Amino acid sequence: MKEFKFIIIGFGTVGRSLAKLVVKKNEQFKKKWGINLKCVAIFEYNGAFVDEINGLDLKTIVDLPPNEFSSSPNWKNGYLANDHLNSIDSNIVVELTKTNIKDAEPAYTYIKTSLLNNRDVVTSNKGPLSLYYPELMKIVSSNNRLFRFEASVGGIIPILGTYKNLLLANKIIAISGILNGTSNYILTKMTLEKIPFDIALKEAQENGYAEADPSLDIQGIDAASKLVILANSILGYESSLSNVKRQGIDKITPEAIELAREERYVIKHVAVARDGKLEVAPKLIPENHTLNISGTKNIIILKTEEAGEIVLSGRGAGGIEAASAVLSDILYICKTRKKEI
Amino acid sequence: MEILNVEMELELVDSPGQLIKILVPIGKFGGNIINIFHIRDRIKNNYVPVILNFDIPDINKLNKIKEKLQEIGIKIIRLERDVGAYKGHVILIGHVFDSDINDTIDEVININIEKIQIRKISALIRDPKKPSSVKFLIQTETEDLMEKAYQKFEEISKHKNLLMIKEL
Repeated sequence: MKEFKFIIIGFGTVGRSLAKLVVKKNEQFKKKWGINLKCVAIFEYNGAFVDEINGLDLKTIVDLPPNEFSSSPNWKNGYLANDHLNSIDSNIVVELTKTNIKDAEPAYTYIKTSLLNNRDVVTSNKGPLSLYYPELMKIVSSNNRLFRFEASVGGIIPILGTYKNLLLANKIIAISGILNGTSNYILTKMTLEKIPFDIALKEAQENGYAEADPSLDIQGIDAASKLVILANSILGYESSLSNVKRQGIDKITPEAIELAREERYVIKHVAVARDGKLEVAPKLIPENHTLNISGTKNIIILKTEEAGEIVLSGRGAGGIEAASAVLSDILYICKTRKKEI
Repeated sequence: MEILNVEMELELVDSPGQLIKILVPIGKFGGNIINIFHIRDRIKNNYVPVILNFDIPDINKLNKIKEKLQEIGIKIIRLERDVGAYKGHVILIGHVFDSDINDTIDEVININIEKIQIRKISALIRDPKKPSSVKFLIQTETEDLMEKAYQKFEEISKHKNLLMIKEL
């Protein structure tokens, strides 16, 4: 049995879902692969749960509301990742803080220092990947680290794993896709119900598909971040968010959708990486095109030199879906490191 | 999609069975007849001018039709084809009319006035004070010129603060 100590930074929806999954599945991992996952710390913005010796009892922590964290004997108020992340003995750091697209902090610092301190890292955070990908990859390479980030792109679609495990013999020449469920939900509503953008947005917010500040989604920033990660990982680009040509969907009118319909087109917010260029913008696509998916779904098309087009589609991420992608990355690291022993 | 629209004026002997002679090669090479006009008020020396309007998949097939017609002794008086082959749509959203739509069109077709055309413009305006949505059908002779037309639309949109949506 090989024990892997891991740290979670950020105990929001994805962090809690991950803890629940570990509670549910760790016995299975022990039996199946001889892997025992031991969570030694969970950092939040105001303190941390820590038990380096026995590992945390995730079962009791997972349902604690934030105002009851201090009721846990393992809670250390004011014990912050900035000061203590590197001093805790661990193999894997799981970075799940909220995406900050402006400067990627604090996630960027957590990831970078963890890699430099010989920890493998898993993240769902688009910020550091879309702003500092080339730099982080150099650190990964020079420190012989493993760095996985499947949950950062395409909702639950296992695009990076599919590429790295199944498509290595294919040359991918272009990527296109619908990478943001919120903007696709709004455009689908506008198309089907012939309503203006602001009403479709309001409905998306009421149904929990859009944030109170929807700008990351409707301006294409979220999709652009995912496109950068995909293009860097799969097409070998060394790009960052500023390299993406980007247009939002907030100016689209029901009349424009009607004009498109006359030609049997629909308007979709499409992300495209090809010929070294990156773009997220509304496009006219034929009604029968593969990219014409409805609702909050995501879709990615890989154009290959040898195998034509390969299409992956699935729901945009929720807490448990993203956590399952994070856990798969953790297991990949465990299995890889176990083989090396 | 590459489809040429052709207008061809021919002279035919004014007697029964002549028209079929020209329709056969057009059909054989994939031509799709849209209109046929006999200009009977211009009959001269027993020859009647005939104007044919048809679509043809590409220029090579049009050349083959011309060769075949000449081979069977048909005189082609006039041949006009639209610039072309490549068609694409662009939708502009914003104050498209207030920001001088004529100027927008001129700038695009002036890239190459012989080989780029704006074939159709459609607009939907629900409220004159609000942004309008306008669709343009562009036709060019080459793919490269279509790309240039798209680029020009993009430049203009940036300059006039319009949202441009083009085909993927």
